[in-house]
Amino acid sequence: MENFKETLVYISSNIETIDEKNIVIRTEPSQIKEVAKLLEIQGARFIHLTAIDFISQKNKIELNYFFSILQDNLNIIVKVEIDPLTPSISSISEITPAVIWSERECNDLFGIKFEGHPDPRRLVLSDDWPEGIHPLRKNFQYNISPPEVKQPVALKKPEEGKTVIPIGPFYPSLEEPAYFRLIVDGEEIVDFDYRGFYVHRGIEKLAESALNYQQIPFLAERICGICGFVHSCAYCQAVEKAGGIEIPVRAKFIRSMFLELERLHSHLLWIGLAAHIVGFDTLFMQAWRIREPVMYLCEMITGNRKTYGINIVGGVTINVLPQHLKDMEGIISQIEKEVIQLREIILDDEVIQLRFKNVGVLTQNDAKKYCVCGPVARASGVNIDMRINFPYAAYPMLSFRVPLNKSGDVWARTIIRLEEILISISILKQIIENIPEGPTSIKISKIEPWKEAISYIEAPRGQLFHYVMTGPDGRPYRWSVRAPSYQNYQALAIMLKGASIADAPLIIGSIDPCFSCTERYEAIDIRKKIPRVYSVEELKRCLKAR
Amino acid sequence: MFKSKIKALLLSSRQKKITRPYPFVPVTPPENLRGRLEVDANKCIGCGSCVRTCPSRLIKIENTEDERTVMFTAGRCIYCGRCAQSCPEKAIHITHEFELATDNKKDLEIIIKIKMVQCTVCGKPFTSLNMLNKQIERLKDKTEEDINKLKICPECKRKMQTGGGSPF
Repeated sequence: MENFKETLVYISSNIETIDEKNIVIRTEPSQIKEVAKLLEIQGARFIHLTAIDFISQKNKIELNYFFSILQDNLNIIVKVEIDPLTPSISSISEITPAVIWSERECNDLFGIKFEGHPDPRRLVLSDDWPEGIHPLRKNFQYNISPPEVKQPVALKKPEEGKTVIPIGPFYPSLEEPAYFRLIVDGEEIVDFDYRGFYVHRGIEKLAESALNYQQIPFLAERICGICGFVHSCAYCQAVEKAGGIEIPVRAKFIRSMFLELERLHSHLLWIGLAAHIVGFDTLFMQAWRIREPVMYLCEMITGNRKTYGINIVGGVTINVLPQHLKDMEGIISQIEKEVIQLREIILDDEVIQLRFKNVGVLTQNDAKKYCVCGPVARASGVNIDMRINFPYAAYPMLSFRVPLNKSGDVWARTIIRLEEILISISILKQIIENIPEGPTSIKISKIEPWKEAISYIEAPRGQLFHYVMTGPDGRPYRWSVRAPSYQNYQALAIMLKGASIADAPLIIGSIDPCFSCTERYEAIDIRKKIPRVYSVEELKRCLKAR
Repeated sequence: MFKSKIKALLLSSRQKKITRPYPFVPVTPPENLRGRLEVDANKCIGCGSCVRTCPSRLIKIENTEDERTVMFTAGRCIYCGRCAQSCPEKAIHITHEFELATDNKKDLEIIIKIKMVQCTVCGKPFTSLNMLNKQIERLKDKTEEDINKLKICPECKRKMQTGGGSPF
C-alpha cells in the first residue's frame, strides 16, 4: 500500500488521501493510460467510469474512473479534467476490457470520444436519437425530447458464411426486452452482439434535475423490479456518507434484514427460472412456491410484496415489531428445510447436470479481466463479496462465509446460489437475535454541497455501485449507478463463444441478467407511452400491430 | 436419477397450493399496507409540506381569489406515504383500500378547497382560514390586538414596521 503510493507519485503529484479507504488521484488526460496500467499491475479492479459536467463552473468535463483494491479495502478515484470543446481521451480498454461499455456510455451521454476504442457504437441512446445531443450534460433539459432522426442501425456484421440468429428484441424466457444476436457457424456460436437499453428511463437525469434528496430513494427503488431495495439502500448510504450522517443501529439492522430477504427471494426466483429454461417445470413451480412466504412476510412488515418504499436518507420509515421477528423465524426455518430438499433434488438430477455442467464456462482469469461480480465471479473462484470487502449496514456485526467454486460453469453458479440462500438464512437468524432497540431514523439537517461519496451493496446479482456528488439545490449534482448485471453482461461474449445455440438461453439466464438495472437512465419523454428507443423498423411494426 | 424424481414428487405432493384464490375470495390487506389517500379538507391548512415531499410530484396548490385548491392527481401515486408523514395537521390519511382500478382517471383525483382569509389592510388573500384558526389557538393570551395582527399579510406587516405607526 505504501509502496503503491510511492509509485504513484511518479505519475501524478496530485494525490489526495480522503480517509484510509479512499484515495483521489488527479491526473492529466495524456497520462490516463499509464495510470490505468499502474493500477492494473497493482491488482486494482475497475468498477465504473462516469463523467460530471462542470462546464458552467470551470468549463471542464471531469471524468471519474473508479477502481478498488480488494485486499486493502481501498477505493481509488482517478479524476481527469477534459476540455468540453474537444472532448477526447485515449481509451483504456486495451488495459482493462471491463471499461468498454462505460466508455461507450460516456460517449453517448456526455459526448466524449475515446480514441482507440474497439467498438465505438452507441450503447445507451436509441438509434433515432440525433447526433451531438448528449442528455446528461447540464445544458440538456430533462423534459425535452429531441426530434427523431432516421439513421442506419449499427449492428455487428457477420463474417462471410456465418449466420445470425436473433433472440429478441423481446427475450423469450425472461420476458424482458433485449436483443441478442448470436453469430453462428453451424451449431456453434462464434460471436455475439447485444443491443439493449430498451427500458432506459432517464432515472439519473430526472433525479439530478427535478427531485430532492428525500424523494430520490423512491425513484431509486424503481430501478429494478426484483432487487429494488438494494438501489434505494445504496443511494441512501452514499448520501449519508457524503453528508456525514450516522444512522441508528436499528435502522442498519432493518436494512440488512431486507437486503437478505431480497437475496433469498431473488435467488429462489433464479433457480425457478433456470429450471424453467431447461424445461424442468416441477422444480420451477416448487422453487417459486418456496419463495412465496418470503413475499408474504415482506408484505406483512412493510405493506408491500416488493418495492417496500421504506428507505429514506437518515434511516428507515417503518419499525419491525417483535411479532414480525417471530413470524420471520418460523418462515425462514421452513424455507431452510425446503431449500435443503430442493438442493438434493438438483444435485441428484442427472439431466440438470448434463445441461448445466461445462456450459458457459468463465475462467478465473477472464472473470478478473472483465471484473464480473456476485455469484458469477464467485463461481469462477474470485473471492469478492462487498459485505466483507467494504462492510456496510449491519454486516460488520454479523458473521458469515462466502461460498466459492472453481469450475466457472452454469452448474457452479447454481450451487453458489443455493449455498447463498442458506447463508442468507443464517444471517437472518443472527439479525433476529441481535437486532437492538432504538429509533429507526434520524432527522437530517442541510447537506453540504460538492461532497462526494461511493457506496457499495452486495446485491443478489453482485456488486452494486452508487456514486453521489452533492449539489447546491438540495439534490445530487451527479448520481451515478452501476448495476451488477452491467458488468456481468460484458463477459457474456466469452461464455457464449463455442457454445451451441440450444445452450444460449441458459447461459444468458445464468448471469441472472436484470435488464432494468442495467439500463437505468436516458432522457426520454416520460409522458409518452411508447418508449422512443424502439427504433428498429420491425419493432415499430410490432408496436403498430399491438 | 430416479431418487431425485421421487424426492421432487415428495416435495411437491406434501405441500398445498400457495396461490390465493383472489379475486374470488377477498383478501385482508396487511396491517402496514399503504393504499388510497384520504384527505380531510377541514384539517388541511394548505401549508404545502406534502407538495415538497411527494416523490411523484403529483400534489399541486393553486390560489384563487378566496380559495386555495389542493389537487392530488392520485393516478400517479406510488403509495409511499410520505405526504401523510410530513403533514403537520394529520390531514392526510393512508387507507387500506387497494382495489383502485377504474376506467375514469378523474375517479383518482382528490381536490379539496380551503377558504382563504383576506388581509385586513390591503385586502389580498394571504393565508387559509384553517391556518389562521390554528395560529389564534396557539396564542398564549388571546388579546384582540394579537388576533388582529395575525389577520395582516406579511407584506403589510413589513411596510408597517418600516413605515412606523400602527393602524389600530
